[in-house]
Amino acid sequence: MQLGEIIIIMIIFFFILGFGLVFFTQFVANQAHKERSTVNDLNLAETAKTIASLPELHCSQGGDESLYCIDLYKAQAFARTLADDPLHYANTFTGYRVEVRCIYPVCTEIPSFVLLDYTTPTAESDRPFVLPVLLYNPVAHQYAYGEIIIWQRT
Amino acid sequence: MATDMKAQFEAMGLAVIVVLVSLGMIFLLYFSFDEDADVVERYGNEQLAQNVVNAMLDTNAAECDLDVADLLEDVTVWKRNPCGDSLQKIQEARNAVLEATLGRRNIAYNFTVLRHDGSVVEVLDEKITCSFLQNQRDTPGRRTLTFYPAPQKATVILSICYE
Repeated sequence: MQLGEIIIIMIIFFFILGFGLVFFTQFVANQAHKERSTVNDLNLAETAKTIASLPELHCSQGGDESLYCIDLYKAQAFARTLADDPLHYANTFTGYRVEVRCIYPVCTEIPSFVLLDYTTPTAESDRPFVLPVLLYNPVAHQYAYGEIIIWQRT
Repeated sequence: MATDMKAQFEAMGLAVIVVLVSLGMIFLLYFSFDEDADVVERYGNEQLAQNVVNAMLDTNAAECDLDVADLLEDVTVWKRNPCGDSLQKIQEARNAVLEATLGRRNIAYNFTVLRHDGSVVEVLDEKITCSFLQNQRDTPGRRTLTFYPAPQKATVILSICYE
């Protein structure tokens, strides 16, 4: 009888231990996944900050630069330069695709364009980071509201 | 003697169970207060709210050479309506911008414009989406516009809500 009790207790003990181990393993895996997601988000935010602070894109008036204002013509020239010479900035933006999108008021001239694309076609897409910006058209002297949309694809 | 031993074993078993359960609870509590992801989300929302406010106020209104901040000055101080109904123009801009950046992505927000005396510009106060969320927190982006020569100002506040 005593032996039977001990066996039952041992079974229960190992059952609890096994359950704990499974739970712990899943928890650690979950934490690792969350950690990875956090690091990706941080990298995305860092890249957005880098893109927003590129002097190649800023609109300036009288030497005064605005950090949240993008000169549309400079940005298009930048996009063309990168399309012609893809190795330029490849180290900084590998795995990222950046798009500039005009939203309001009128965007007939330049509705949207790809600023840079260092992703592979088969890459998996994550949720994008959106950076609202002011888009300056120096020819028409018009300011429009737009977005820089940054995808990280790995 | 045998009964004493059994009682001791049982007590030890109970103690082991209590220790294991306590460890589990401590473990769970420790990790449930880990707010790393929350910080990232909050930072992202702060940047988003502030950038939306900054960019929207400097955007030219439709069919008008003035930007939204100028029209806001007209609504709160001068009331001259240089491009037609200034208030309507601001509302158009606000709706287009907030819908494109926040609404389309199902991000809840509150948008408020306060006069210099702290009163709300009623027609520009949009407290709709956040009130439906439980346990909400917000990260505000704000910009205060000072109007010269009239010593007046208006504050534009955009709060992005998240759970």
